[in-house]
Amino acid sequence: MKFVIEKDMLQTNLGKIQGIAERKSTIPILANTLISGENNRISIVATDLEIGVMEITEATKMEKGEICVSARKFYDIIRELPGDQIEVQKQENFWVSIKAGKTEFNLPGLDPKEFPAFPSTEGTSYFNIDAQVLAEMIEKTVFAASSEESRFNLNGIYIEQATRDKKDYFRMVATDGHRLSMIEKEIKTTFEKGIIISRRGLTELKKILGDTEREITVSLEGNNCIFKTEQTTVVIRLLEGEYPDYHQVIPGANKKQVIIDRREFIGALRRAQVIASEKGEGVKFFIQEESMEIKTGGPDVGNVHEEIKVIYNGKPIEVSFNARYLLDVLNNIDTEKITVNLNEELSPGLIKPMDREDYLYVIMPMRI
Amino acid sequence: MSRGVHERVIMHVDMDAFFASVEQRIDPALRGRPVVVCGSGRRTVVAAASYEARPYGIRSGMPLFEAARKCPDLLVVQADIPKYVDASLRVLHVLEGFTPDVEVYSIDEAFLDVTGSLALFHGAERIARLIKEKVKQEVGLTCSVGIAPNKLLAKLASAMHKPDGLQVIRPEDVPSLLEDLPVEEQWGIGPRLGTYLREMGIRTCGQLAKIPVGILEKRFGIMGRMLYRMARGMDDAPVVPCGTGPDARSMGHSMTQDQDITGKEEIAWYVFLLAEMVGRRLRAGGYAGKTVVLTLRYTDFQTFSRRMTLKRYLATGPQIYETAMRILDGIRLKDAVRLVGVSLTNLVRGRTQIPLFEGERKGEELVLAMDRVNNRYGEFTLTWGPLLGGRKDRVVPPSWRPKDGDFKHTVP
Repeated sequence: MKFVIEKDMLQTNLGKIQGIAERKSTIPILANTLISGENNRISIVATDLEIGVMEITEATKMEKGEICVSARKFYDIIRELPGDQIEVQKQENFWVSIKAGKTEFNLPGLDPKEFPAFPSTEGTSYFNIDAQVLAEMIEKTVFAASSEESRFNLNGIYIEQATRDKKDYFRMVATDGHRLSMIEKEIKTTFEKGIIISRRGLTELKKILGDTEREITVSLEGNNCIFKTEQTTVVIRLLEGEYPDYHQVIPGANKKQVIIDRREFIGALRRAQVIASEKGEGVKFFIQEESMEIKTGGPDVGNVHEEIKVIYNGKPIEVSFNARYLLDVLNNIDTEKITVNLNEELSPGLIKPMDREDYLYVIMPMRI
Repeated sequence: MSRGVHERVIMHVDMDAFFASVEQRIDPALRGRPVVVCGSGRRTVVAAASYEARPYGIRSGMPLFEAARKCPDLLVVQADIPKYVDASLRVLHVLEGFTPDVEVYSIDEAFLDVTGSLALFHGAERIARLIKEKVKQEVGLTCSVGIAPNKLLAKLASAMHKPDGLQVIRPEDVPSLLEDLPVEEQWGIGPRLGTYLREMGIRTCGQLAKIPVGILEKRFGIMGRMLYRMARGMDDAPVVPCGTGPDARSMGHSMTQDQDITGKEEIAWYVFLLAEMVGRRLRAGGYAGKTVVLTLRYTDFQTFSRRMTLKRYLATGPQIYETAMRILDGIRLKDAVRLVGVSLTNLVRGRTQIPLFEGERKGEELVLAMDRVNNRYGEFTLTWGPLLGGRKDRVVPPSWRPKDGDFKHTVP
């Protein structure tokens, strides 16, 4: 096997698979990438058995065949090579030579036949989504998913087709059992039932496909969800297990609605966090007409107290929340103002970007 | 007792025939009669023998059939650990009335550093008498107390006049006391080590004290230096309280066993029990913690701890158990275990995150309701199935999870 390729193109493609080719894996071959070439095109494949990625790119002077080399080493070498053109050629005993200008590297490789087969990517039915929209949806949900092994069914993001006001929505939900983040976009999907994709799977997907301007084709095939563009295919194995009934925890909007300037709120919370970080992140809010008092502290760590202007005209209410959980969502909202709907001291709060219906966040109070 | 500036006064409180005495207190029909408490299932050995059973030659660790042969009138009771834990915690409560420096060594033994309390209570012997009185009055049990300059000698002293004893060892008594003491009777020198020493011609601590430390180190490694110090009654190990102060940094419990604990399933049972005890203490003080520490000690005294820090704060037995078991899963055991300890650090007080899902909230409410019952009627009046009566030979399947932890379940 042999091919010649532009350095930049190869470097970009290899960069995208680094997160998948696991150096720490107990299965050594998974730290490698499989490169196959035919008809002036090469495919670069990496997998950790949960996520598989295949990049297809153009090459010249092609001699058909396959090589299998360390993904990290290959990438490090390409990055350091001089010139624009790189020649890669298979040698005896699975060794690979990499040449650019007057530099030549020789790298030991593995038998390409040992590399796990790439799963079928021919989903039966599919739908399209704008890559930027998908990236936004991932970004606004993954942070709320649990990262604790013991809550494996909450480690994933729940994805389903929803219908609201006779319109079809593509919806993503994430929760760690304390707060919940939900986003939906008016897209008709082909999902017949909800699926769960791991937090890591979606984070990698966003890294790989997040910067394209194109549409992504999404389909399901067996136990896999497939995301495809012309050049890139990402296959993610679905998580098994049941997702909790999240509808029951989303409170309806009500009269105790507070409108807050997002940046001002972020500033106040970050100041409060300096003290609250030693107190399990707990911060108290006292809201009455036109003002919200934010305070936290204790006899051992000191205290902080601040008042910010808000729009509110209900009965005074006192409630405590985890400051980090609030900052997580405020940093993911793009509007200038947010609305917070509260009910009672110990019932969940509902946070939304002002005048937008596609994103919501539910947060359970703390008992202080 | 006259004391130098750096001299400590350490007390060892040892409950008399603890399991058997608890049973005798609860059931009058057992009083004054030879009683043994045993586990159940395949391992039918005597876990504890009442003082009435001891003249027959019955000792703990002895197979039950052998005990029954020695004493045909023997009454056999199945171990009910939660009952003993309740009694143990109430004794601990009494002890903590005299000093905050109480180290719970095992379910029926504790060390107290009373150095700072001597003036307040007019001397160590008076403290010991008050402890004995209060334990008798409030828990209905007798104990033996040893008073000495360190833990090693305090432990020796408490064993000198059992049951219901009170013995003081003064520094000047030490050489004559140890001279003829058989080596196996010194705390920490087990039968195995005793046999090695006897093979070397050493039977008493006095003889052991004559062996140069270099020779002991050559023969026994690190243990050699310990033996050298033990033979002289030297010990500077501190009394380590389990952290119940007004703003504790950690909270934990540990248990030392006389018999080997082998296999993860059996360790799991102790982890479960300790997790439940720690959870109770955390909640009583309004605490929650996010780092779980599991401590194990092998039979050769090698002790080690492993910890795991979570993103959320824990305060219930099942949550602590689950995390401690994940730690245990990652440990490859080299030997049988004698001590199991579970503690939580990274504590916060007076602030808890309420769960979002109703099932999980109900699970926490269930725990709080259990607390109310147990506060009123005694520890472990209400508890989780696997802890009941040691019925399954003290084994909890490592996969056990409380039903309430899963928010898809509704609690009946």
